[in-house]
This record gives sequence, structure tokens and C-alpha cells, in this order.
Amino acid sequence: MLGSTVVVPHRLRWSRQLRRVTHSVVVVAGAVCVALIVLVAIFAGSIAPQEPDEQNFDLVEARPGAKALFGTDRFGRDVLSRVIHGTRISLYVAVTSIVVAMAAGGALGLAGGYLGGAWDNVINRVLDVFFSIPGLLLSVGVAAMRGPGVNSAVIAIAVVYVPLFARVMRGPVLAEREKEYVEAIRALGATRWVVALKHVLPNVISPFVVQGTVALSQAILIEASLSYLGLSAQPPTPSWGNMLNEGRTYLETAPWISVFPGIAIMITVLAFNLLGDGLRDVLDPSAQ
Amino acid sequence: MSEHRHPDPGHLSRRQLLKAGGLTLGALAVGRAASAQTPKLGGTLVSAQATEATGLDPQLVPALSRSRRSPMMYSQLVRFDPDMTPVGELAESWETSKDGLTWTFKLRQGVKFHDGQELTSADVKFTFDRLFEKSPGKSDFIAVDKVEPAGKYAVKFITKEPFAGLLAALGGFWGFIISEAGIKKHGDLNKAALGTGPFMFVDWKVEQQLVLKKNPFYYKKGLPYVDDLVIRTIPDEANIVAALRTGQIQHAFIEDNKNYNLLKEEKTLTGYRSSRLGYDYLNITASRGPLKDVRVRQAISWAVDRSQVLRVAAAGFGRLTAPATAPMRQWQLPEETWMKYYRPDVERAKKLMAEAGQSAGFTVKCMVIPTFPTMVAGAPVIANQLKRIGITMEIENVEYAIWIKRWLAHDFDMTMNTTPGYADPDTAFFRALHSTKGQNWNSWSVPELDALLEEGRRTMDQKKRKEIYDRVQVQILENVPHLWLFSAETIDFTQSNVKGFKQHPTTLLYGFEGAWLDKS
Amino acid sequence: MTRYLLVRLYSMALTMLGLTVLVFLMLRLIPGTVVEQMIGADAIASPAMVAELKRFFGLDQPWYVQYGRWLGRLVQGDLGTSWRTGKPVVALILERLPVTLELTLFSVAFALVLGVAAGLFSAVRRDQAADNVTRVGTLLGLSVPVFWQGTMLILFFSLYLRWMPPVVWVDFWADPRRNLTIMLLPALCLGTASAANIARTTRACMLDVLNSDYIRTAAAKGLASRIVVLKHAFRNALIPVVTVVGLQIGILLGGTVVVEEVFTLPGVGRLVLWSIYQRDYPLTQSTILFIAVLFMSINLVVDLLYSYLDPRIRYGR
Repeated sequence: MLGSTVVVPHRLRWSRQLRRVTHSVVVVAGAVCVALIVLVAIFAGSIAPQEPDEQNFDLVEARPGAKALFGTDRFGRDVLSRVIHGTRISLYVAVTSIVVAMAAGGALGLAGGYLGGAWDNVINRVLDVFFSIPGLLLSVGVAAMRGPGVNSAVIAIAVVYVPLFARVMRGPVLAEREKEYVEAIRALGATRWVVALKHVLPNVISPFVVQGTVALSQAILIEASLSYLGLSAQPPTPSWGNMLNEGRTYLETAPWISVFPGIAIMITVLAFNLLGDGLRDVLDPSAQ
Repeated sequence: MSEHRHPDPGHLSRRQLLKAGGLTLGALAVGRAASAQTPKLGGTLVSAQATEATGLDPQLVPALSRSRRSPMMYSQLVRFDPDMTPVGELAESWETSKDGLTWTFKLRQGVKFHDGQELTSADVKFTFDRLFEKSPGKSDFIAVDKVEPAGKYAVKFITKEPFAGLLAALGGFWGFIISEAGIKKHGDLNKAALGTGPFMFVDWKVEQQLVLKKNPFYYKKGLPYVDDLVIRTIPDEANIVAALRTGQIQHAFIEDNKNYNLLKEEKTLTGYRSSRLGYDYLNITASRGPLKDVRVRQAISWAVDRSQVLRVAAAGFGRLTAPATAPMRQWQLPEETWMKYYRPDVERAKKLMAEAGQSAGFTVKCMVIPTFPTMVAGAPVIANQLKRIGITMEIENVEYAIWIKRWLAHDFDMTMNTTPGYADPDTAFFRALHSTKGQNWNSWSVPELDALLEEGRRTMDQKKRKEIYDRVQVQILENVPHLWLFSAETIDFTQSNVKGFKQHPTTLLYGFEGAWLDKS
Repeated sequence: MTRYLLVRLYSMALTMLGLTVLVFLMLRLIPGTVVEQMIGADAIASPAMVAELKRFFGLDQPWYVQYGRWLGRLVQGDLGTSWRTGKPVVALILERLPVTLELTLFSVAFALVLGVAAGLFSAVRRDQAADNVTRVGTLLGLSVPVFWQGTMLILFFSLYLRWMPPVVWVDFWADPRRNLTIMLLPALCLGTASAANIARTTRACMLDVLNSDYIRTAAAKGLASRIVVLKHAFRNALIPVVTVVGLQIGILLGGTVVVEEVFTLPGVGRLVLWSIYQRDYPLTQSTILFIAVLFMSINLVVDLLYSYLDPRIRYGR
């Protein structure tokens, strides 16, 4: 960046960014896919042809066909309906955990970065501990601790991502803090909180949002892994991960039980990745 | 002297066999028929198991995965052969005193432990002293007061009251004989072994493989035939199936019965199917809410279609069973007597629910251990069936460690359960069902049943016992402490060049002793 | 440099301490103990026996005493003994470490080769069809769940190519060919997402560098474009790529848990999972700490490498 900082009114900056966002093909494509997936989740009950746990012993392990588009499993349950209902679990866990992580992590990062000094040090040290183990392992530990279940998965993923968002928030906050306009506003008598929330925050929100979208896609993958290991949604509630786990012993006789949930995961993660990628290109081109 | 006599299968018609509840208990070989050949010596036999043992000590580890491995390294005083006749192993013969309180076992002479030391009565005494002190398995021998040597090669078991189930206990999961020298050397026998069995311990890499080698001192001359025995742990049964197909392993015990269909056409493999002593059942805590009422429990029993559960849980490879499973030959109820309780009758169930004032239905939770495939498969089927009479059964997936905790504390409404089974009805029923003197798994109280159980334990006369336990079984079917769901078949596969392998109704691996590899 | 190293090591030590507290507490908050596992359901265990077992494992002590004991032994280098198997934890980890390391190594190698090649390819053909296809490919690579990929690969190979990887594990030194066939599919699965990340980073860095002034000048001077790319741009693009690769190694270490589970490889990841289910506290605690040390050490090495490569950092900011 060259020379002086120019203070641009927030309103103008937001509308400019919004225009850039809506003009990017990638973002729009991602957003549309995500919207579709969300709709599927919300209207799962109406869209799904069968109840997800309805057993039908006349149609056990049936190949995909007219009666069951994605086939049936060992209880005769319709795989298509279960995949549709599984969308709810994946989205619920991903969105809830990441929103919580963004709020908590963002607050920690803002506090640490802006307050500095001892606060920053302590927060950093604690975050370091959470960064020291691979994320999946940490989430397995947390989920096992609370007992398997959907909310355990939410907490586990949130715990893994809070440090990340804290870091993402902290860096730019530290940088912004040093800028001239902050000094100016403080000299005019504004309290630290006002400066933090009204002035510093809006400038650092873009990379945060981008990280959030990317984290959403990762959260879906982590939830699927936890489900697969039996730590998230419990059978008979269908989640894509636990469907894959159930399908493991049926690979030879009924592979469709394993194929379709995986494709669902892939498409959903791809959609969020597209959205995240696009947003990153538009909002924060300097970040990698 | 309780010598069990049983009908000779060769002289009975098929119908009579069915009546006795005993379908073929021997090996049903699929593929090339085994002809009588001379066993060849040598070779390495690799067997795959899906479940690793958590420890090898025959007195400290309760899991079936341990018991299955014990016969390879240890011997018992008495063992049950595949048709459940007690046969003397370390004991040559035995006799009971007139009052039934003293059993004297004459030990075989010249039996050596793996370290070359001879087996004497002191070793037997040491084994049971340690059992009573440290072992969870002492519950099998609860009626035994003390074990005393009667000379170098004889042992006396003195019981507090007549205990007809002693032979069953000795031939069961906790009857393996150890030596004091072994304990002195290793501390405990979890990671090492010192016994009198056909194979000696070489090395054990947990979750990978247990390596054993032929015991040159084995008292059965000429056995075992193979030089080395490797028990490999392959947790994923799909991998076991692949390993069998590609010839990487010589034997595997199949836990998920549906895999039988994947392998039965393979020309390079021999399949084995037989009846199992163990069974799957649904436990009910009879002190919880609506479950207190026997009519509700009966309704549950009438609503459940056990054949459907069997179809899903074991791919149909198994059978419905009375409380005494088929291998318990002497204790079989006539099929008409028990089968009628298993014909699903939803109308009758609904009526019973109404009589008990539960026509509105209710919700219960049922525990399932996620690592037990028959539990995982059976529970949703039952849940679906119970919906028809208004009961909502919520499935709780409970990890094994926590399940045990809750089981011991009777902290559950219902739970799926599976057991390797018991040879003697006293062991099978007393501890589970007696309301005060046992563990009372159901938290219930049925005084007539208590009385019958106590009488059955004290009686030594076989005929009288049979009458008593027939009535016990009917009481069980009427009062429904558990729902006996099914008994899955035991399924093994070997390469066709493996001969002489025999299954056992307990699924314990006695069968490697006589197995040999045909190199031709 | 030495000062930096010392500061980092001190930091690591503090973090490790914090981690011991975290792991210790987390494990003890999981319900159920190893004692119930050992007793089983089918037998009578007298309260005396239970108490004796609890005492044997030190479970009857208050948590801070248990913690203190464990920490005390840790600083002396004693990682403890596994409760379930009776073997020293160190032995169990060392038995399985080569498998996990081999898997991680092969995955990184695969990811590096595929990722850098794809990234370069994509950058050089910017905005052409090839570039767009590669970019979609990398996005797909990031979106595939690892365990599903493994399952699908196994399915594909066995159904259509009639081939199954050997199920029985062999060491690399015992039978290299067999070992590599076993490692093939797992490394492919684990390395895919990393390859995608590396490809994206390589592409971005290459584009940055290719657009920079000095490269344009060199190209204008008439050097063959291929030489320009390989010699100048690549070396400069290397730096962020090294960081990404380093990060990936850490992520891969975590990912081995799932891959080892799917392909049933006898590695450290599965050891941790198994020990959690068995409530084998000494094994779980020490293994997680071990993984953390490995993880942090790799990050440290990458940081050192990064500062070595980037002359701006090497000679002080």
C-alpha cells in the first residue's frame, strides 16, 4: 500500500464490495448451490419420498431402480430419503459450530489483538495448546468426552475452530490498531470499545468472512468423519457419515449405500468451497 | 457320577433329531468332502480373527475374545467335545461322593507344562486359589468351598451344597489350569502364557498377531500337527474375506454371518456351519415403569417377530431357540412347547397392553453396543415391530466400557445383549434370574422361579434336574425376563488344504489341535 | 537464529505443559474406566476386587495426585505402561510409528509431485481450458471426504480391476514391493486434499511471480520462456509452497487417524482411537502428547526452513 491511508466511508465500501461479489461467477455459482442445499435441508420432510427410518422387508438391499432411486439398505430403508434427511445434520452441525466458533474466536481475537499486553499473551498461550494437536484428534477427544451425539459434534468442531478464528481476527486487528486513523479517533476522546467495534472491526471483517465460509466446508468434512467414527449423529438418525459407516460391510453386496452419501458430502463441500473461493477473490485478493 | 448319556445320532431319524432340538452339530462341509487321510506334519497355519483379545490371562480377562484363545495354550480338567459331552482332559477320571459334596479327580500323569515341569495336584490347587482370590470367573464356581490335593495326582473339590454344574464350570471359560511357576515368572499371564496346551506362546503384538508354536511336550502324542500357529487380528471383516479369497490366511472365524454368502461359492475354501451354544437376547429391567407389569413384557414378546430379526442380524444363518440352546442337548424342551411363544401375534400383544392399561403406549430406551453387529442390526428391527403396539423404542448407542458400567448398575430400560452361552442350566439361569441370591439381571422377583432354581442347583439326579429345568424354561417363557431372540450359527472358513479342523459350539478354538495342512 | 530457536523451544515446552493438563482432564471426563472393561458383564466382581483394581491403576487417588504422578514420570522420560496390554507405551508407539510415518511421507511425496506439477501446469496456461479444468479438479480434491475416497477406490479396484491390496501388513524392510502395494491406496487418499492445496498455492505464487517486473524483463530480453519459468520464478515461488507443505504435514498427521481406520493399517492413529475406547489413560495421554510433539517439531522445522529460504527474514526484519 502506498503512502497515506484514505478513510473511505463504510457505506460506500460495502456497496462496492457487494457489487463485486454479485458479479463473480464463482461466487454466484457457489451461493446458488448452497442455497439449494439449504432448501433441501429445510424441506427434507416434503422432498423425501419415504420416511428415513421406515423399514421395508420386501425391498432389502435393493439396487437403485424405479422403486428406490438410490436403492435400499439392509433394513429396506430408502437411501435417497436418508441422504436428503442427512443434509439436516450436516448443515446444522456445520453452521452452528462455525457460527459459535466465529463469535467466540472473533471475540477472543479482537480482545487479544486490541487490548494487547498481558491479555494477548495469556490468550495466545492458551490458543497455542489447542493448536498443538491435529484438529481431528482434538475433535475426537472432545466428542468422546461428552458422549456421542450431534451436539457433541457441534461442540467438538467449535472447539477446534475457535483458536483459528481468534488468530484470523487478531492479526489484522493488530495491524489496524497501529494505523493513523485509530490514533486520531482516540485523540478525539472515543473509548477503546467504541474504537474497536465501530472502526477497527469493519476493516478486518472481510478475511474473517472468507475464513468462515472455508471453515464451513471443512466443518462438514469433520462432521462426516466424526459420524463415520460413530461420534456424531447416532443411528437410526441418518447422517452422511454414519451411512458410510453402515455401508462399510455392504460394499460388495450393496455398494450404493456407500456411494450416494459420499457424493452428497462432496457436492456440499464443493459448493461451500466455491463460495469461499469466490468471496476470497473478491473481498480479499491479497490473502492466500 | 454324572455321566451324560445322549442318543447316538447315527441311529435316530431326522425327525427325532429335530425333536431333541439337535440339528447337525458337526461340521457341514461345503466344497470338497474331506476323506479319511493320514495327517501330515508341519507347516504354519494363519488364522484371522476380527476381535483382538485384551489380555491373555485365563483367569483375569472375561472377554470371549480371550476365552477363544485359551484352549490353544492351556488345558482344562474336563472339556466338552463338540457335541457337548464332557470328556476328561487333564483329569483321567472322576467320581462324586455319596452326599454329592466331594468330587475327586484323578489327574493324568506325565503331563508337562511348556517349561518342562510336570503337572501335579499342587498346580490345580494353585489355579483355583488364584481364581477365588482374583478372578471374576469365580462366580462360575460359587458353590465350591475349597480345592484340596489328594495325593500328587488327585484333586478334591469340596462343595458347600450339591453342585451338579461343576463339570460345566470346569469345561467352561474359566476352567483353564495354570502353574505357579508361570505366575512367579511373569506376574500375570496377560502378555505371556505358561500352560499345558498344544501350542506354546512365542510372541504377541497387540492388534496385530499372536504367534504360537507346537508344544513338543504335549500329552496327546502326535498332536498338534502344525508347527506354527499365527492368530492375526484383522478388524475389518471385508479384509478377512479378501484375505481368505487370496489365500493370505488359512482360517478365519466369521463374525458377520452374511459374509457366508460371499464365500460359499469359492472353490478354494471349505465352509463350516454349526449350532452355537450362545445366543442373542433382549434384556428388560422389570422394575422400570410399565415394564413392571408382566403383561407388558409378554406383549413385547408377542409383538417381536424373531425370524425377521434373525434375517437381518445374521442373514438368516441361525435358528430361534428356547432358553436352552440346541447344543444343550440334555436340556431341550420339545419344540412345540417353546415355539408357540415365538409366533408373532400383534393382536394378542395389543390386548395385553390394553389389559395392563398401556393402550396409549409409552417410550423406552434400549442400549446397543455399536461394535456388536448383531445388536446394531437387530435393534432397529425390534424398534419397528414394537411401534405396532404403541411402544417407541429409542436406541441408545452405548460404548462398551460405559455399557458395562450401566449393566452392572442395572441402569437401563432395555438392552440388546449377546452371550457365548453356558453348558449347564444352573450357570445359565441362576445367577441371571434369581431375585436375591444371584445378580438379578432383571431387577425382578418371581418366587416360584427362585424356588425352582434353588432346587435345580441342589439336585444331582439328572432326570429330576431335567424336570426342574423344563419348568424353569416355561417360567421364563411365561414371565419374559428376556426375549430370547435367536442363536446365530457359528461360521468358519478354511482353505481347502486345511483338514481336521473342528468347530465348537462355544466358538472356542479347540479345533486347531487336530488341524493339519495337506501339502498335496 | 539460535535465539529464535531457544525462544521457540521454550514456547513449545509451555504449550506441552498446557496440553498435558488439557488431555488429562479431557480423558477423565469421559465416562467409564478401564476397570469396568476388565471385569466384564458376565461375572460377579466383589466391591473389594473393584477397589483393588482401582487402587492398582491409581484411580482411587484425587485427580491432582494422579496428574502429579504422571507428570513426574513424564519429565523423567517415562511414558508409562499401557493398562490394557501391560506393555510400555514407548514400545507400542515405536512399533506403530514407522507405519504412520511411512504413510505421511508417501502422502506428502504424492501431494508434492502432483500438486506442484498441477499448479505449474495451471499457472503457465492461465485462464485457458486446461487451467480451468485443473482448478475444478483441485476444488474437487479438496471436497472429497477421505474415508469415502478410500472406500470408493477399494470398490473400484476390486470390482473392475479385480485387484485387492494385500490385507496382511508387511514392513517395508521385509518386503518392499508388498509394502508399497499396501501403501498405494492409503497414500493416494490422504494426499489428495494436500495435493489440491499445494496446487492452488503453487499456482497463485507462480502467477504472482510470473507477473512481477523482473520476470517480465527477463522474458523481454529473449530467454527461452521455459528456462525463465523453471529457473527464476520457481525458486521464488518455492517459499510459500514450503510453508504450505509444512502445514500439510501437520494436517496429514491428523488425517492418518481416519485413513488408518479405513484401511486398517497398524499405525499410531488407530492406536490412539483404540486406547480411547479402552480407557487406557497412560497410553492415550502419552500417545497424544507424542503426536503433539511431532506436530510441533515439524512446524518448527518448517518455520526454520522458511526463514532460511527467505533472505529477508534471515537477515533480520
